[in-house]
Amino acid sequence: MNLHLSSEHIAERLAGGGGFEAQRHEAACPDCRAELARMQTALEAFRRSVHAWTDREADIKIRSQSSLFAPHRPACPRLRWALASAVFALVVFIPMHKAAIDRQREAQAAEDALLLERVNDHLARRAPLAMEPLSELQSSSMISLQEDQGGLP
Amino acid sequence: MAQTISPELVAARIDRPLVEIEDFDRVVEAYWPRVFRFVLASLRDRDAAETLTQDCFMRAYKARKHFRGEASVNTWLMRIAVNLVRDAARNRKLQFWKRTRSGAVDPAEILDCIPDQGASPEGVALMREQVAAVWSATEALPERQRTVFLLRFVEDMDLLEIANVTGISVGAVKVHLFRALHAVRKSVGRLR
Repeated sequence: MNLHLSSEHIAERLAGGGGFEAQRHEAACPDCRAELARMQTALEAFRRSVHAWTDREADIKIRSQSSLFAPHRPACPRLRWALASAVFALVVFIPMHKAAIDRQREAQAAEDALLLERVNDHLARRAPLAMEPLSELQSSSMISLQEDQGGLP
Repeated sequence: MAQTISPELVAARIDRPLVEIEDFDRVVEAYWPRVFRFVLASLRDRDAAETLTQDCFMRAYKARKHFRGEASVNTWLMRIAVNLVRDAARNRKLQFWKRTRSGAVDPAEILDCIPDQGASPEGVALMREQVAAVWSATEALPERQRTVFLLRFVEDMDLLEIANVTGISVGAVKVHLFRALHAVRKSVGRLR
C-alpha cells in the first residue's frame, strides 16, 4: 500500500474530485494535506493574477476601441485610401472623358457634313469655277438675243 | 415543502440563451473580457488575442441565427474561442520561424498583478515564484492540455462544461487535465 496519495489522486483532488479513500487519506496525512494546500494556493494565485492581468488588458483594449466591431487594424490604411481615391477618380473621370469624346465626335461629324455639302455643291455646278463668269455672260447674251428676235411669246 | 416550478419559468430558463443572444451588443459587453482572458492566457500574445477575440465575436454574430440555445452563450462562445486558439496554435507551429512576436507578453507583467492581500514580503515573494512556475509550466504544455487546464483553473469550468467546450469526452478531459497538473506540480515542486 502506498504511504501517500499518487500523482493521479492529487490531480483528481485538485480538479475537484477524488474518492472517499483519497479524502480520508488527505485528512489523516499531513504531508499530502500540505502538498494539496500548496498546489491549491499556487493555482488560486495563478487564477487571480491571470484574472487581474487580463482584466487590465481587456479594459485597455476596450477603451482604445471606439467600437467593439470596428475593423481591427487595417492591413495598410494608406493603401486603402489610395484604392478608394483611385476608384473615386475612375467613377468621376470616366463619364467626363466619355462625354468629351462624344462632343469631339459630334463636332467632327458636323464638320464632315459641312464638307460633304460643299463637295456636293461643287459637283452640282455646270461649269468649273474658273469658267463660271463666262457661263453667266453666255446666259445673259442668250437672253438679250431672244429679246431682240421678237421677244418671248 | 416541495417547490413547484411553473411551466413559464421553465420555458423562460430554456429560452434564456436565445433571448440573451438577441441583444448582441450586450453579449459582447458581457463576454468579451472572458473570451479575451482565455485567448490571451492561451496564446500570450496581445495582438493575436485581440484579433482572435474579435474574430470569435464576428463568427458568433454571423452564426447567431443558428444558435438554438442548447448550450449557454458562454459555452457557445468559448467553443468558438477554443477552435480559434487551436487553429492559431497550429499555424504558429507551422510558422516556427516567426518566433519574434511583437505583442508577446512579458511574464513579469502577470507577476505584477498578483494580489498580495496583506501577505508578508516573504509570502508575496513565494507567491510570485509559484505563479511564475505555473505560468512557465503551462506555456510548455501541449495546446490541448493547456486549454483544458486554463478552462478548469482560470475559467472555473467543471469537467462536463470543458468537455462541451472542447468537444472531447469527460474521460479525455480528465486525462489531459491530470497530465497538465502533473507537469505543473513538477514545476511548482522544484521551488521546494
